[in-house]
Amino acid sequence: MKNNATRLLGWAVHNAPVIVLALIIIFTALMTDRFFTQINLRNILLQASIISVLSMGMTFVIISGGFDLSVGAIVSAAGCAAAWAMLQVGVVFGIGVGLLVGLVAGVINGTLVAWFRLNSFITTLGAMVTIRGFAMLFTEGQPVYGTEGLPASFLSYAQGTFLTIPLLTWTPLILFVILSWALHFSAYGKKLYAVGGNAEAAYLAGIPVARMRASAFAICGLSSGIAGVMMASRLQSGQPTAAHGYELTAVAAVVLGGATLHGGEGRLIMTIVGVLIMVILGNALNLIGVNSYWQPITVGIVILFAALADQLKRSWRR
Amino acid sequence: MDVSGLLIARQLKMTFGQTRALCSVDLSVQSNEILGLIGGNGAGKSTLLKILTGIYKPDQGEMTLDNIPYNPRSPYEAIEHRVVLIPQELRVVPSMSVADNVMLGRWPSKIGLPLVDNSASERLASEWLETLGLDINPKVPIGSLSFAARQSVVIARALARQARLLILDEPTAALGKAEVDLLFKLIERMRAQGTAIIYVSHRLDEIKRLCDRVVALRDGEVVAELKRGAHTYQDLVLAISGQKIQQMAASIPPPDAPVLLAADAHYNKIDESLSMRAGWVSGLHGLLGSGIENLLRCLFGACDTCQMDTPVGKTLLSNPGAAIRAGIGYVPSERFHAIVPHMSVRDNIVLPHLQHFARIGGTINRRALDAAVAPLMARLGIRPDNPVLAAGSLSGGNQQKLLFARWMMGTTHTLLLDEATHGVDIGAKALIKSQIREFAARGGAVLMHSVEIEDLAELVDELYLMIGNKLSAPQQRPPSGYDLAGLKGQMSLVDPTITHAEPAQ
Repeated sequence: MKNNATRLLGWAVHNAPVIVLALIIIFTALMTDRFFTQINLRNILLQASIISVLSMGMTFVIISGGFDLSVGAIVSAAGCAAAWAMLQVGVVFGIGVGLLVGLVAGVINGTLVAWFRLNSFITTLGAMVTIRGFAMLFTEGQPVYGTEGLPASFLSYAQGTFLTIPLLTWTPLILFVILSWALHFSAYGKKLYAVGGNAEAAYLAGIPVARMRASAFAICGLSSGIAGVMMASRLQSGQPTAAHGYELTAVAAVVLGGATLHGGEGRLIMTIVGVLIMVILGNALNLIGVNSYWQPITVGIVILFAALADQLKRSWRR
Repeated sequence: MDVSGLLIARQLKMTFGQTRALCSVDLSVQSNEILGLIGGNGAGKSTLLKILTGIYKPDQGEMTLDNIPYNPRSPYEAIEHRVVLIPQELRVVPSMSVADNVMLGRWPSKIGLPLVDNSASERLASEWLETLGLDINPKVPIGSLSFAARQSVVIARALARQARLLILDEPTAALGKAEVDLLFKLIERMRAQGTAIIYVSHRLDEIKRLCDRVVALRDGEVVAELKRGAHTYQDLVLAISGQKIQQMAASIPPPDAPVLLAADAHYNKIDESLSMRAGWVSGLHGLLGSGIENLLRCLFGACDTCQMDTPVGKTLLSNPGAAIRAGIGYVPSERFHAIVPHMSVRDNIVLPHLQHFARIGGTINRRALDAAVAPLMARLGIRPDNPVLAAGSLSGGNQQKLLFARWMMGTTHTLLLDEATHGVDIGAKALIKSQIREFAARGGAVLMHSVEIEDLAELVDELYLMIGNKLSAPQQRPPSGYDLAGLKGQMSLVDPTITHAEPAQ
């Protein structure tokens, strides 16, 4: 009897983000009948898509024990670069340039953190400001869409659907499968958890610690590049001021999913749940008609509660 | 059971989920008494200490301190009652001065002003230091002192807090012999001041030497209570393990066995050379602070302060990964350096060998992984026998066994062990020692470092001594065993710790 109760409690603690998400959905559905409508669900999927891609990359960095503040800046820079290159050469080339910008930014972050041993918070703060500056410099602060707008084939990416699911949402789904495999089924993933959980132990087990850390930033950078391309298609332009504050949203989603900033913990599926909590909470407050200034306050309080719950879980485990 | 005493605990009970940590434990300790507390890993010692210092609340039982009910709800309340614990990892603020650390949180203020009176603080601190016969400058930052000196300062802090009950948890784990002698003098002076002392240690010889009374715990119960002089070392062993530990019989390895690892190191500006042969267990003994343990890290490719060419075949080891591929395993002296606490026991065991479990494309073959880990856990007797449990939740002895299991798989043929039996109970110690011999008997080579020569002398086939800062030629085990007194004599010829560790009287 007691054993069952303990096991149930353990399960609840382990899956707390899912329970929170379910409660939010049930509560909203009871409050308004506009939640489970096709338009609203599609809206939620579109909003969650770009943040999901960012947050999955961020999960890798946070598991490795790092932190990346530059992802929002990379999204806007990669979006601008993709739009510009697309207007010069073509759609495929433009997408390639956007991804490359993200990857290069991630590799630079990773190199500074892993081999030059800079603090990841400061490193990516510097990177964020620098990349935002470059984006403003090259675009002169103006959106990039040329004289006749971006190619129609590229814009259809943000508008089209496949099996009734928006193309934009297929991107994080495919990425999720690939990254889940890397994180949870490959040797790479186990090594990354070891580096974040105890870098010295990982080193003494023959794991190339610096290379693992750098790779996490590279994956995060590439994810941001992908998010940048998605953003450009959605906004039908490269926007140097886009994705403002996305870095904090992504970190919040990862933390809501149960990861800790100490590293070595976190699950990709829970990061997605964290993203959905953030997006659906905002959506629900909107539908119910709460003053929009309450939205950031509510989201902020949810994040603080997540941190508090995590700390309680830790002391309970001891 | 005694009913008088400064601290009396009656019928303490504590369970965690399914695990019974303490089962009606009675304990008392008097003023002017040193009580030794012994027991294997998981016997309940740490639970008991945590109850005494207010970290845990017992499920049942009562405690009194000086005949007044004592129920601390936090470590802070315990200190308010003048019950002070000195844990293995010292709690000091490294950047602050010795005086600030002695008076920590209780700095004297200038009259009427919320300002710390630094000169008064230094004066008081040096008075406490003098009471203990310590010659330490109260103005220097504590971070600049040796571990032993910092420990002395922490004891002075306990004195400054007028501790009625002082609890020391494994205080000698990081000390050399001369430093242990000094510590014992300090503890005896604390006793003379009227303090009651609970001394927890795995080192039974120290317990025998220092303690007025010994209480042994096993499986959460008090199994023996022994007065000074009324017991032998074997009695203590029997009390905590419940069985007689058999002495190891060392076999004699062939003298012409192939050399598995030969090293010429340029270390501490001197050239050291040593070789490890198949089937041999080699010992490496140096005093604490000789830095000799870094030699093992170098051999494992994990040290960047010394240069070394380690030819294994033709491989040059530049990092631990290369060493592992060359068949070398390393167990560091501090377990927390080698274990990823949130990871499962299984993943911790296979961590250095992950690539052997990758299918084409890089996916881990979990079934093969489980199949490889299960027999190792059984062979080393890792408890609880659950491969998916977080490694950080195991007791110290079981974590140490885990680190051994790690190198019992794969193609490891050479084992580097730093303080392999450091801080584990006598049962785990015997098991680890037999595993070391078995590893050698299967044709492996072992190099083990320890500051405790007794541990080495019992086990090794040849012994390197770090005398002064020079590595001696290997001394092979004589048929009658090593002459401990002779070895200690060789070491003390140049003992760097003895010359300056004694306090000015």
